[in-house]
Amino acid sequence: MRATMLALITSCLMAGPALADKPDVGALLKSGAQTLLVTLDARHNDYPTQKYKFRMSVKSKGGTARSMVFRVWQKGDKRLVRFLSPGEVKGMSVLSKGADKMWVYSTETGGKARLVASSARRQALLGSDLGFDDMSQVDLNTSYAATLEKQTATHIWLVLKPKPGADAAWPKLRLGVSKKDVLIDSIEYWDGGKAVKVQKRTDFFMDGNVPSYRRIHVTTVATGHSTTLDMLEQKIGEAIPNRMFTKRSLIRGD
Amino acid sequence: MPTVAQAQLELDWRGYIDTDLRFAIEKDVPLERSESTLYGRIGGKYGPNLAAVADVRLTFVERPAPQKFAGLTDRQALDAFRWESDALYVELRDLVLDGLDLRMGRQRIAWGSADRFNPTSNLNALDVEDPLLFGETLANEMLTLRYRPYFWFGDEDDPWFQEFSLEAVLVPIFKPAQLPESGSLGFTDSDEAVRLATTRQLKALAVQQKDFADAGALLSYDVDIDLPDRNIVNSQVGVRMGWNLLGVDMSISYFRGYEDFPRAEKAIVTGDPTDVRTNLHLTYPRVQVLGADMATSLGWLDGVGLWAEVGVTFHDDLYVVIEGSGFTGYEGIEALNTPPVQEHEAGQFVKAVVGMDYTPLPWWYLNVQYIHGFIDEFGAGNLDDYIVGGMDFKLAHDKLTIRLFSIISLTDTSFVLFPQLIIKPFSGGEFSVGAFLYSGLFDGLDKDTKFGSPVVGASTVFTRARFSF
Repeated sequence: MRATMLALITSCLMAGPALADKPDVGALLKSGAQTLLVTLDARHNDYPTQKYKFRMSVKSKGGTARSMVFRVWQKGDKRLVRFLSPGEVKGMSVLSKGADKMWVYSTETGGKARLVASSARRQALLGSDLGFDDMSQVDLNTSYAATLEKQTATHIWLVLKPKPGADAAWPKLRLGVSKKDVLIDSIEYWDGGKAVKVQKRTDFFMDGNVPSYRRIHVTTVATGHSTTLDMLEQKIGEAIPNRMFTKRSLIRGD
Repeated sequence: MPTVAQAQLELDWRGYIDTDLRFAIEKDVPLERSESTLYGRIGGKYGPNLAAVADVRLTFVERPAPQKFAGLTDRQALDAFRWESDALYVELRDLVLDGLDLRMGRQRIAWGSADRFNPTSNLNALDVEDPLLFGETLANEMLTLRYRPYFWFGDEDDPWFQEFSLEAVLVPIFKPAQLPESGSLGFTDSDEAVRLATTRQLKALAVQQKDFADAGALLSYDVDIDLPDRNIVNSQVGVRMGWNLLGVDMSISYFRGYEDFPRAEKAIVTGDPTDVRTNLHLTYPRVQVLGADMATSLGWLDGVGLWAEVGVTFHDDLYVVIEGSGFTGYEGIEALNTPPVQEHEAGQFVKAVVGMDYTPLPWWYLNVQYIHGFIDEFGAGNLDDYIVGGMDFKLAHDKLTIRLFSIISLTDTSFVLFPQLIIKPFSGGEFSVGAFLYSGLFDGLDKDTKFGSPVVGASTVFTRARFSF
């Protein structure tokens, strides 16, 4: 279960873009850490549609890097992913609707879009530190309660613990919130009293009115294994017809 | 002058280079195959209404076979290769109606929800020449009309009915299954003929021939294939309707065509007790198949995948003719004096698959299926039961996969083991080593069984490498 939720958490945090109108951090903090978390969720996730092109590079400590390029179309809880490289996955597409409907298409399946078990979402993408659902929008404030840990000149540090009864993946998260951008640019995933994974967002840029991070780097602390996601293209809020998220579109490559 | 937007040509391509080296686990460890393949696939779209795909595979088979001196001067004999193509078609999209697509040309169409064992998928004949590629089919020239309108019932963001599709396929020319070389033993080896005989009379003939062989006779076989005539009456057709209801993919289908595995319909025995010559005529029974299948993911069971597929095959009366009047002394041999034998009474039989898969951990995948009626089995009285199961262990961040799969016959307990180690150290690169082991390999296990018989082929060890681009 943990792996799935890890994916959900990282996904929410990698979404990146945020509203241009920056809120007043001081005022938000006066309203409480949970209010700040709600605002951060909205700034990261509150977009009707998203289109991305990513390059994902996976590297073990001292090892060689492998990379994968894919496109993502997302609208609400519907998502279409098309893999562009490497050759072994080129031409494969994955359509998901909600938490339990996912179809995979490749020419190897004889032109058939196969409904796959939702448990398959646990599998990592190309051996990365991320899962398939890492592209989805998930609001942390629904599962976690936030408290203020400390402030520095540049950051606010929040500690998140699961709400009673919530299906949260991690017993503790530490979020680093950039005061300048009012966005989360650092996350630590804690378990057993120590940070297990660390996520860093860098290369901030303005995509029109949408402030975004171009690079996300996730490191598994114990092994040094890391995954870097580079956003090659991003289009926020463009119209995507609903029929893009159908088996027909999956098969035809629309 | 108004301007007209010009459709842009979009091309998409991919390919791989693959090598495949196998040795049979037999005395002297003979080479089973050594092949190198270059594969390429290019797809094109010209605007929203026209698409095409070309898919070609060139394989050097490394079976130098010059039989005469002239062969030494023949490059094809010395350096043999073959061409294959899984797709070569043109597709017209949104033809007249939104969602109506017409595809013409060489295609492979897979129906059904089960994993590789699909009793409802009969439009393309199976390619069982290579056991490692189990479930592969041979492409065929077809005409496919698909209608996938965009409609739903319920909330558009979470409908309870969606993904409706209707498909009609015409296959003008029947193409039979590609069999392994060892498959001929089922018709030409007297021991195997005894084991596989489906009627008392066929068994008597096989036993008689075995007796001749034991007495020192020379047995020879000539096997002829009688394919259906190429005309519109013998064209194959299929219709399928699919939808998703409450998260469950479902479909029903109908197929009218031919069984793609041959059966011996006529045996003409000539010669004498010292020189027994048998001329077999293999035919392909005409069949109709009604199918239904479903697949879903059980969220309440931690995301376990579940599927089921059923094919009901209808066929005519099928007879076997044993013609022994050209055999010297046939009058005194009961097996050669028999009227046409009804091998299968007109009727139907059911093949079915039920399976599930599950990923309990990011690095552990499980898959198991129950199968009633193997791909080569035909007739209500000849269907056995099997379990196909296996698992993947993905280690070192998917750089290493340990794959273990097996097929077990519940009828005679014979089995297949398919262990494999897959290494993916670099993007686009894959190396694998493994074995494909039939139970007949192991001493002390019955050879007179489904997977113990030599008909299935030799157990092999293999190593493969692939570079994808």
